[in-house]
Amino acid sequence: MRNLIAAACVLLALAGCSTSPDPNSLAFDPHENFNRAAHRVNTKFDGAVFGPVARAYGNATPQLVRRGITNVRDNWKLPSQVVQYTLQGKGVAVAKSTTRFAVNTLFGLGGVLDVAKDMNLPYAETDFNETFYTWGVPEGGYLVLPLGGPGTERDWTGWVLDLTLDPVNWVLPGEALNGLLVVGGLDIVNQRYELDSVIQALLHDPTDSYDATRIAYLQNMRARLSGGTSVDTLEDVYANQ
Amino acid sequence: MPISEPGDRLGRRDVLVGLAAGGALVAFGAPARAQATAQAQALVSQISSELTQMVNSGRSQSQMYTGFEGILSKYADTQAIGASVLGPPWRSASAAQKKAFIAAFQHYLSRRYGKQFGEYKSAEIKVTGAKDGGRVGVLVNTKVVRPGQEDVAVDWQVSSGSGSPKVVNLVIEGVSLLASERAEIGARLDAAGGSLDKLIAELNSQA
Repeated sequence: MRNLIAAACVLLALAGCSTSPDPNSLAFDPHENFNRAAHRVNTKFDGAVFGPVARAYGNATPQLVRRGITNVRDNWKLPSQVVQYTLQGKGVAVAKSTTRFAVNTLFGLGGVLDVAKDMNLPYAETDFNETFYTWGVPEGGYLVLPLGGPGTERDWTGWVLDLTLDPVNWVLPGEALNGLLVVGGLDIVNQRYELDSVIQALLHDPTDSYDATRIAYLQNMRARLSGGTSVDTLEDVYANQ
Repeated sequence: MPISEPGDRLGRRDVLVGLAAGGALVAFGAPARAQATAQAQALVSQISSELTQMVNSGRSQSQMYTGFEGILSKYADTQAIGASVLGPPWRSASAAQKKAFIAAFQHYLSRRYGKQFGEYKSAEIKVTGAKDGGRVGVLVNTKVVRPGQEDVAVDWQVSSGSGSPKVVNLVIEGVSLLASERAEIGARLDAAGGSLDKLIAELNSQA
């Protein structure tokens, strides 16, 4: 375990990681110039291509089909999530995710149907970002990638590792992997469709949409990882009046 | 030396009296905090039922805005929220500007957040818990449940800093309204060349 943490730290150091002095800070933004340029690209792309395509896809595809595609995608993410939960030392989550994968693969047509959800085994996504978080690795600076969207240095490091170390890559035949790639792509388009009003409110409505997106992204990610809003992050509204 | 030995002044009896008084403070303080938590929860339940009632009343969008603005001014401390969001310019503003800004801010908030009420027609707000943060107030956790859609976690920060319990912040899926609005209002003030009067006029014209 200690070796893994050391390895993670080395990895993040190699990535040129920067660390905020305050983990709740919203002011720390060492890559702002790069980020703003990437954000402009993303906003234009979303307005001209991604948003319209997602709305067209969402309106043309029945909810049942879109749900099925998401189910398949989520199901085949489970093997890598079992690995992550193991690295996080969460035994119950390992057992639940393993059972969920077995049930939906065997009795849910390879994951199209979410049978396990009704057995009280709902999908709970995790990733290397959460593993790093449980190990105490700081999130690093906010980092927007062109056509990738918002993230942090820890996020993006985790994302690369999640993609390259996915055990499914070593087990499934090439055709199946290509199929999962398409499924994954459609799921991203569907997510864009389902979050349409949120993305509109963050990317296109605000006066400074870069800042609005950054603030919302960081707070949402931190709350998700720490299991909800902590009273420690609240401010005393009456302090300076 | 005028200062005597502590043992002379602070007798055993004084210590006991002191401890008893401290104990009494704890004894009276604890129920007061528990009461604050219960009051905050009751307040959020009350607002939730008024909001759901309004969203389902079949009223027009513009009537909904007026209704929402009424709920805001009744249950939220928009003066404290507005002052905190505006930051340093608040302190240098005149009394008339402050009054005009709070009215404009309230108008703006009701439009900005009331716009999506149409999507919440069959929504239910469930209070799931509360935690006392002491000086910052009580955080009441709720879940907005809509059939066939993901639940939305909404936390309400309730504080009695004004003398009575009022909502001072909303945290939606971890995202604080105070932080978001501080960025938005700050950006609008910059765009208005730093003129508070221009910002007020712009907030008033929010559709």
